[in-house]
Amino acid sequence: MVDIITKIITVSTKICFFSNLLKGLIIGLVIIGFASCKKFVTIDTPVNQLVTQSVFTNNATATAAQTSIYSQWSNNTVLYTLLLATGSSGDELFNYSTDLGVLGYYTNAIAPINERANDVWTPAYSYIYQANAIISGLKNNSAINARIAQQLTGESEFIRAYWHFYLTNLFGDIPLVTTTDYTVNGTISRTPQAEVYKQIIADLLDAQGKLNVNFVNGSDTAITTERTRPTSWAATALLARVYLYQGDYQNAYVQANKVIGNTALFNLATSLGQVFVKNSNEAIFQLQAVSTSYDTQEGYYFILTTTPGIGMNNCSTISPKLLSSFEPNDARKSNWIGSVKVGANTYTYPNKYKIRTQSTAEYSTLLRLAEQYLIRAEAQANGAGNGISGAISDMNVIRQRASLLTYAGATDQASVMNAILHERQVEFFTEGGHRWFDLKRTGTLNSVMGSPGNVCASKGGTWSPNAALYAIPQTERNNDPNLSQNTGY
Amino acid sequence: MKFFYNASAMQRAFGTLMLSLAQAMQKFRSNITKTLILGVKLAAVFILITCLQVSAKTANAQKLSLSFKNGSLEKLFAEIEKRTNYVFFYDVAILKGTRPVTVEVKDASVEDILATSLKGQMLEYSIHDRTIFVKKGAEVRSADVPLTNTNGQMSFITGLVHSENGVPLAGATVFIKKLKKTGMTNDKGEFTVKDVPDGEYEVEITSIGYEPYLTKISVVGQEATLVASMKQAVVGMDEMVFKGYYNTSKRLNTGDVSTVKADVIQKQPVTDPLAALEGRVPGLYISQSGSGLPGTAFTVRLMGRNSISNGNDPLYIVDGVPFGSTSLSLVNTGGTSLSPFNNLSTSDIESIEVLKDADATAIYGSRGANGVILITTKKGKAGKTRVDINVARGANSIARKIALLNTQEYLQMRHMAFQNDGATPGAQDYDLNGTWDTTRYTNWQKVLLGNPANFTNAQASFSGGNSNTQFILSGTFSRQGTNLPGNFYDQKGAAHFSLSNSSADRKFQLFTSISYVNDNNFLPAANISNYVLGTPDSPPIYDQNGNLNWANGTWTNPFAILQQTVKGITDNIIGNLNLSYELLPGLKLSANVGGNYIQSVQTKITPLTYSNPATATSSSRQSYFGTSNSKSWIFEPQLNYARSLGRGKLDLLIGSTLQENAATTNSVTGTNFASDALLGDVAAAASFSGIIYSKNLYHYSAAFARIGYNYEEKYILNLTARRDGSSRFGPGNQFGNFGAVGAGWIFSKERFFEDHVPFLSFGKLRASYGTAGNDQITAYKYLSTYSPYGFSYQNIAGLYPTSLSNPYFGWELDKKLNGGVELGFLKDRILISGSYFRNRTANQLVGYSLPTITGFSSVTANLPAVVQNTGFEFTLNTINVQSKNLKWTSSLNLTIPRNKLVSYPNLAGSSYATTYVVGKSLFVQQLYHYTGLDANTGLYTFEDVNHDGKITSPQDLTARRTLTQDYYGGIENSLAYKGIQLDFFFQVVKQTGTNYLTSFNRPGGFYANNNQPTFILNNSSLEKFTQTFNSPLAPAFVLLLNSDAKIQDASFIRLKNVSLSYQLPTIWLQKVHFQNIKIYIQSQNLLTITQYRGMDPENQGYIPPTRTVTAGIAVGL
Repeated sequence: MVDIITKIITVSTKICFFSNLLKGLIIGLVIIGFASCKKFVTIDTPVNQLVTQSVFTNNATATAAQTSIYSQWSNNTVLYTLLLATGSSGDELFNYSTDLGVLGYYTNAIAPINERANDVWTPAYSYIYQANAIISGLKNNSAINARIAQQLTGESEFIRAYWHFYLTNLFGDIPLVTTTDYTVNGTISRTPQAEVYKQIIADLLDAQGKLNVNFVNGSDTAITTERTRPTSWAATALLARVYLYQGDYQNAYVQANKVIGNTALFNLATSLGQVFVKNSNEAIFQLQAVSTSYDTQEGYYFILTTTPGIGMNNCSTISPKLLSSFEPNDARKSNWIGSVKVGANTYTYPNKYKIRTQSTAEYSTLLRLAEQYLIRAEAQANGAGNGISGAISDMNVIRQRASLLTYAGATDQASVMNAILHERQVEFFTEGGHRWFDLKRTGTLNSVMGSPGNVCASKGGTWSPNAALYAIPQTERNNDPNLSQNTGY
Repeated sequence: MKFFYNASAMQRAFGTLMLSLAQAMQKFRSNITKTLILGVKLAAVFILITCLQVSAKTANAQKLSLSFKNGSLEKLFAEIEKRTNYVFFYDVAILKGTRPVTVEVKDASVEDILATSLKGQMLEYSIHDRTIFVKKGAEVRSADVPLTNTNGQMSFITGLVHSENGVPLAGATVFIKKLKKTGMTNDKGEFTVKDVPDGEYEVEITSIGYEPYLTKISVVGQEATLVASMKQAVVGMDEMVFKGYYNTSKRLNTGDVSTVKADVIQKQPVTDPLAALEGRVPGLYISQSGSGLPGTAFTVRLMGRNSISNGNDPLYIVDGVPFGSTSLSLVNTGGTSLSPFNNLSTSDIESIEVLKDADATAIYGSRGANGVILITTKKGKAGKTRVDINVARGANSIARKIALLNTQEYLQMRHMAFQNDGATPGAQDYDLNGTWDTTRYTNWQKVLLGNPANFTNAQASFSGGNSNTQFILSGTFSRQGTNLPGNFYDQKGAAHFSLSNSSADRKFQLFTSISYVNDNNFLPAANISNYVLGTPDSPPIYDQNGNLNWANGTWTNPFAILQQTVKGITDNIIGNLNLSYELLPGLKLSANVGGNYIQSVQTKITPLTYSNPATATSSSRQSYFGTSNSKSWIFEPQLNYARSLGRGKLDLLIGSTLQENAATTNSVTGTNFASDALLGDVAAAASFSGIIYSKNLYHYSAAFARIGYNYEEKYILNLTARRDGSSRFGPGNQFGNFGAVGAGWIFSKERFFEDHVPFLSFGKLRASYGTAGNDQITAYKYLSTYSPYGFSYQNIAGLYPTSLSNPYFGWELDKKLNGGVELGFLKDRILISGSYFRNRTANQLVGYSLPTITGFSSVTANLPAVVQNTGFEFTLNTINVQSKNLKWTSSLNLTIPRNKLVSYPNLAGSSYATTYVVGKSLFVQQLYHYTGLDANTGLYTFEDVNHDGKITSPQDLTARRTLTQDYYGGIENSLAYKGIQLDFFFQVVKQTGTNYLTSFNRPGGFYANNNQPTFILNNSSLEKFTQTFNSPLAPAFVLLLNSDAKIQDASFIRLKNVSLSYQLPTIWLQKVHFQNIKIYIQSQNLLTITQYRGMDPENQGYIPPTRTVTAGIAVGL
């Protein structure tokens, strides 16, 4: 009897225990399966990324988004490839590369499938996107300090204008991008160049008003000696260039005059060796060196230490035409052109930047005072300001620094214009794409590249006026069906 | 019609779901379907019981006392339910018009109560287990209590079923043929079949994974006892097929599953389990994707390429734990990434199951769109404790070489090029102008790829156990060298432990396994195969002082390239614990908990010797330090219910999954080291850059259910459903529903075939249809994000945008249709199977290419395109000779895959306009059409489709070639004569690929690595050589590289594996007290037959796969 009772107790305890266990487990199972899984699959925002909206709720992260554009820029080969492309397409560089993309530029016969235009196009539009993200993120944003928001918006407008300027000068009509919406920008068409210029001018005028008149540091407001952020003067300087390119000499003169007039901040470097050092007096806007491998892309990829390479980098020497363009005794030839001897051969290379690897002594200089002098000179030669005499006097400022005598040529407009263009050629070689753009905007491209200059033929190509505009990258056209190609490709 | 279990509960959604299922099923009219309906009803009841209210009290409390006055039947039933463990199952309509009843009983059985109260109510009832079915009937019969024999006593057969090793087998089906009665064993292996009159019966006992057990039994005096010892099926139709959450046999499988077992894997001297699958599994194409160096990655496509751009990898599960298929490599080794599967130990694998169709993969729901590969590790077996030791050593060499120009021929080519150009060698033509010694000859292929390499594999295991506990403990070491100059290697150490245990009453069961692998990989960073094409008269590798020779910077010394190395150390630990408890007979609660931690530490060093000393500075020294790890856990509670039902067996499963994966990577590049010797020490770097940290979190949850019914082992139905959520999708898009139905008909069991087609020993038709999903994208894609930029500016750490926001994308959906026939002839000596599959993937999840005008090159989105993969798979297994001493078996598999982009709305306007063509395979390439050499100009010519006088893209890209396999398969032959066993396996691939042109430069010029294959000399079909890009011959050559001239048949037949072994006779072994001694020779990639012009047809352009020959000995103590 006792046995039976014991057995019953054991069994019922067991049953009770397990039925409860089962109940619990099944409820758990069902709950896990249905109720809590919704919560389970909604995960926290990433620890190593910031959701875009939250970037613009805080002064520090908004600034980080802005300054990172400069470090990307300083670190991107775009600084070099822009110069390699324009220098090879024009008459500045002699090419050793067998890279089909470089050869396309060099022989003025870009094959859209081999072009390297993406090297400029893609970073340019990436910076434009980032600038647009900042402009829209800071609009009516009360979370960010008003002065900071104003400065960052101005800087982003400057960046947007800067890169639209380069894109339109390389490719002609280009997509004008002022929003971040990929559903719109992914199928965008090309905007006529005149409209692109309108937007560039509008951005620069707005930036001029918004940007600080002094160089600021990472706080966005405090003044620093580092010339690595755009100021109101940077906007003014670029505006002067834009007006000049458009033939608006009056406005070009006014803007260049403003910059030159700010002698408290800008003065020509007294020696040629000091022009491209960091925070040079002449610098209007520079990019801080951030890479651990080099100070500047220009120094790293142009300076030759041995035979020129056959790839993308260290593959060019100074063209014979450029070498012979310097007047005798032009200090720029000896100071800004370097050479290396390998066996019996001597190779020359652009040496405005003296340092090839990293030392934090040089910064890539994007805008400098010398250009403003020559802009003002050209504007005056075309009737603005003090006219021809003003033009010659501005040109002489630059010539004197290069240890040359003052201009003694004919003083008719055509001669002075020619002299200014020549001065630009030897002052700005392999810098900012100036030479290639000058040839195009002054209508001298065909006579230089084709007959009678025959530069293209000397490079092994056949000149076609269509080559003035680069091919729109084929990959971009594949991805954007509304993107038309330039004539001749 | 409405079923009533419990008035309130009935309204629940679950009931309605099952109701509709039941209604759908009711449309069928036959015995089978009636049983099935019952099955479905039972399933509904079961789920309702388990999900909504659990009141199972006891199986024995049948007697009750009741005082019930003048109440409705409904109330009476409720009262009985309340007080017993019975549940009622009826249509509420039938109770209309019944009269109230009064019951006053003491210690009465439920049967008695029902018999009294239903009398004259035109209702009848039946009891199945603990469910009481009430339905309309003529008269109440006295219940479905066990029938009695003529003597009025119960009669039955009882018995015990266990394996050869004495382990009781649960869930085995006992079938008494004459009576068509079935029973099923419980967890102790015991069974009872009631209601068996005296007589002699044929009894068939089947259990999954065991050969059927046939016996005769006599029932005398109402009782008979049977003890069956089942033999495990190693090959053939009864071999176990593991389908993840449940098992079946080849015979009963309704899905498309292929299995590769340990013996096949172990015949192959490979260290990556994927390499062992090449050519062995129909529907699975595996190829060496990269460098061909040990430890590097493979490309795996199961039943074709389903997804346009994202995630074509199958789901891998190792012992129940998902295993990531993406490499943890942060930097390339040998120009490619490391294979994550190299971090598994091949010798610890028991079997690899490849699940292909919807029926097989639907239980994995989402992640199964590209199929599922289940890797199961070895378990101990009950029996005497044994020690097995297996040691093999051998050598590796490159399986294929290409004939290249020697110095004389090379110089001849160069001179011809100058002659053609009317030019003379210039200052930079070092190979010709006397700078280099033109009498020198270096066979770079031999120097770089012809070095001896060792292969070592050693394993020891210790295993055993009794019927309640089994264990195995093993350790493995393997090391593979490379044929490159220098001490490069891949070395693995592995440990594996598994333990199974059951409680004495066998209600509680535990299984655990832990595997640990440490892989140590040391390889050059670059893909050295390009340097095989080094100039034959290049300068000596070392100068007089024994230093690397740079020859004044006139060349890049390949041995300098080899100075840049990557050391990768990976630790992988996979642990799994499975617990189960039998709550009630047939009802089992189990939970699977598993985890995987894998970490890879890579150090890529760039010593000073990598750079030309003329230009090298201390900043040329660099080291990259990268660590990536992945932590995942999975928790899967499950309820299983199995019982015999009618003449069949019913299996029910509900369960859920919670899974998490957290992957982090961090890396930094250090520069300015003081010495090469310090490059491995991150602290020795003077400056740092590219500091990267990333973390990816993935959460996944699911609930799933399965109903399987097997009627007389003749008709099999398998239904699975699943609801899955993935954190990779934005709010609102996280969940997807997936399901599948699979059915099988073993027609050879039909009397007609048994009687009229005696030579047909097995015949099955099966079909399945279902859906699966795909979420193989990285985390947080639905967010627009900024990430830290590795460089600061004005001392501010940067932030840059890393993705565009698209909150709308969701699961990629794959619809799979599969049908097959399996036939066995002459007592299964010939087994043939054929199947057809059609997978259609819609809602394609892609990184949709954007013009970079948008600031990004892609955005994650669902694309309204449909990709279809169809194909036929065949297998043939034959036993050609089977005599006392000699056994010869063959097996063949063949897959004919087809891939097609079925639809793509507005393809022309999309970013894929020049990549894909509607109606063509995704492997299509759009090329220029090569039209031969122009006799006048000597230039390659191409079809100018739009007649504009120029060859331009995309207008003239009209030649469409599909670069994929037309068919592939393998043929295995096994011969066993006494103790000698010979196996050889041929892999057969018919495919189109790219030829040598893609690996070579334009002949004639002087570039780095511009040697050419010998057949370019005196070859009138080739353009004249030129050494300058200014020649019109150069652009013509560029067009050639983008034309169909680079397409070639890349088919091959490869003697993939040969294995010869000799097992020492037992008599000898007994003398030395060994259980087993086997000596063997194995070889992988021994021979390749191909017309392919180039290095290797398999990976086309990289170092060809390695040929390995090893000899070894296996000893059992």
